Amino acid sequence: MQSSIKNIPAYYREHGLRALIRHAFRVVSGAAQHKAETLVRAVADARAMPTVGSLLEARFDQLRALQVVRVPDDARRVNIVTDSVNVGSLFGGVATALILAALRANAIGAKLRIVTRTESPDPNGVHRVLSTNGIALRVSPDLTFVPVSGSDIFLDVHNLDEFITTSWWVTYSTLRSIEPERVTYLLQEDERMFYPHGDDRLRCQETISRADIRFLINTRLLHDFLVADGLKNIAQCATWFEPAFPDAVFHSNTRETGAKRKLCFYARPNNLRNLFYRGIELLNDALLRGFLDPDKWDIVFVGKDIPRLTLACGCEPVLLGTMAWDEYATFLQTVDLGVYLMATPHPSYPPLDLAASGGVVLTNRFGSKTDLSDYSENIIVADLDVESLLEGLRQALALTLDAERRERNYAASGLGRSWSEAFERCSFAGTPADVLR
Amino acid sequence: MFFVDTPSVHHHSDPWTEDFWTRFAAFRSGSHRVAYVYEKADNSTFRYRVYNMVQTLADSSSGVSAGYFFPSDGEKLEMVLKLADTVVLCRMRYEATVSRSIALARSMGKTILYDVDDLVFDTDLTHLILGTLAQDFEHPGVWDHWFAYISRIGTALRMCDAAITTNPQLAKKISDFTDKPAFVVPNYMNRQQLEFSETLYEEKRRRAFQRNGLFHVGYFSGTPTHKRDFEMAVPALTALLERYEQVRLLIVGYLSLPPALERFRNRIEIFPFHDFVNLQRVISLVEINIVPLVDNVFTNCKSELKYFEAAAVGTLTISSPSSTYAAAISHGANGWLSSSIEWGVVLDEALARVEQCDAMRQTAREHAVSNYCGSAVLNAIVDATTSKV
Repeated sequence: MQSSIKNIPAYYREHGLRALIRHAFRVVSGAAQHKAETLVRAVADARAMPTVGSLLEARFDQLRALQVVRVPDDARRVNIVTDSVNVGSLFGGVATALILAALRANAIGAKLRIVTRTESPDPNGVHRVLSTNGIALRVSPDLTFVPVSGSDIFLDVHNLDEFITTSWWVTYSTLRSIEPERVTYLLQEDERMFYPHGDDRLRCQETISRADIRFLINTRLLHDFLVADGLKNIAQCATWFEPAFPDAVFHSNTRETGAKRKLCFYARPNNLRNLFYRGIELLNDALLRGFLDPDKWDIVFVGKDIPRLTLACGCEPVLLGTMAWDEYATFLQTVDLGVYLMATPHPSYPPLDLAASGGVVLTNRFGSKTDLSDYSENIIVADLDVESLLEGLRQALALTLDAERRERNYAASGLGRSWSEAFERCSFAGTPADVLR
Repeated sequence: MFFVDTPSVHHHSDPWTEDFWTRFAAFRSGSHRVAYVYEKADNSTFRYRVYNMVQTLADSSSGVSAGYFFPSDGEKLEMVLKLADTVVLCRMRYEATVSRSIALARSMGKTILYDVDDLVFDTDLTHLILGTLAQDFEHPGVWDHWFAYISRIGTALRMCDAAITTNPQLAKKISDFTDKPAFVVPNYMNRQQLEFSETLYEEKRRRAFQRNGLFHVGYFSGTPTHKRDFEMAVPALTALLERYEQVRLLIVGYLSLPPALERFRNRIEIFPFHDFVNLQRVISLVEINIVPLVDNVFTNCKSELKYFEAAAVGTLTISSPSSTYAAAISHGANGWLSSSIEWGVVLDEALARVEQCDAMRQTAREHAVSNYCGSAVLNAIVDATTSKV
């Protein structure tokens, strides 16, 4: 930009009037140009900055709308929408969702369509879960991967499609493209507990508070907890069911007498609700105090991302990672005692899986989860402080050694064995009897 | 892989290169004349829906004669329309010539039929079709092209008196769309295809289906538009290749390999496209032919031709259970059906039973040659082309 003249009379004297006027013009137009350049730069900067919409999309990419295309057809389908059905994702909740969706499809003569969002589906895994649980689909199922990240892949949707969603984020994403009256949210945990108070939890809370969708709650315990926690929509729009543990998969096998017994700890350090660190504290203390004898017990950690470690007395646990469905069932038959901690109101699957396979379980109390003897007297429940857990472990060890009592408890177990019976309690969006109250 | 010494047919040339007057002479020879009109002869729809029908009628004593004609026949086409009793427009896209031909034929009281072998006439399904065919949504011309293509077919279809198509599922879709009748004339094999298939099959049978110890799985729809179909079988194929050293994959076409199969590249043979006669020889080499299909209304209307062409040369098929394949294949008797989650199990079964499948091959072959040949379909062709609608 042209600099201004410090002494105008001196400039006039030296350069004359015409030069002074010319200079003044240059100064004025230079300032205007500078202003315009500043403005353009500011606009460009503003353009380069993300909008609120793009920030939200980036932060909550899993909440992007499920991409659908409406297609005129009258075929009936039950769609289960979930992150993944690959080995490692197929336990507990996802398997339950697959089974219930398959039974729902059979019940209404519909096709089952499995929609995954984060991984291309593994057909063999799905086949194994359904066949192992004795479920034969009446109509050939379909598998579709509709990735969360933008792509040309979409879901074709007919007028008679209904949807079963398996997490709050999948529900949220589905509800951005599908009418709420077609959606059943299979809720298998108080998912708010996955988060600290913040944006994720807020959105989760908003989704599980929706009164315009149907909820299907895994266990009465969880249902009652949510209702007691003030979720009026759950009281109005939900049914609950108790999961089943078919004999064909979960059954007791005679544990080898004389051989070392097996203690299994559910070790998932990155799933905070599984209280990994409290668990290793407990096992360490039990070894130190001597009532857990490493000469008589093999200690096995099963889970994910488990660090190598040494427990008291130099005892190093065996670490086992993800197992295939049938491998897992066989493994359970070799476990005498499971230490499964879960800081949520749902009993969680591992304790029930093991009790259904003839083992003894130590787990913890949480909220209204104070007693799991209705499922099985072989499940000991303790408060989460170390001393209470140690006392619980003492009882569990004693029960493990008392074969007669353990078998009696196993025989008297209240665990359901039939998915068809479990399914009878379930209602879904789209069923006439299911009009939201 | 089966041992087959029958050589390829060298210097094969497409048999539909006759000049206009030869075609015209055949067309006018009968008491009821059917003029098939197609845009330009090709190895796919034209062969199945026009050439084969004309050949079958010519071989028959039905009194119905037929010829195939093209817009490139120019003014002579008018003469054809005048002599024709029935005009069949096959998958013609609407344009001025089509419109004029329909108007002319109608003014002369001719019956005008429209033959379409895919669910490609309803623009409500354009997005679904593009997705199924793995088209590039970002390409600026894709939407214009496909909406124009489908609506041009839909418009021409609606202008006709009735339709002919390949299967009941598609016939229902056509009737729903046009409110007019749709006759079913299934796809089938022509004389040349059947004769060469018989030579190949007889050689295999004579040699007691002798194999070289390798187990070949064949995929014969290797075009980019079948990418999503093929992907359905990829996890099972990967597992099969991983577990069994003797397994090979044979693909005909230009399909780019999915990443999961890349590491087996040295066990995957990719052949270029073949003419319809020599393709039979390639199919005859493999133990198993796979036909995975994405499941939607579009794929459910596809014909079962990949089954019967393989069966004719004694090759067994594993297919997705779409409406036509489920109707043609009796699971475990003349092939196998696999739902989307069962490909691994069914491929394993096929591999385990490969030495015990001679009776199945025979059953499949007999089923194919007796049901998917001109004589089996003749009545359906005559009914459709002589109907007064």
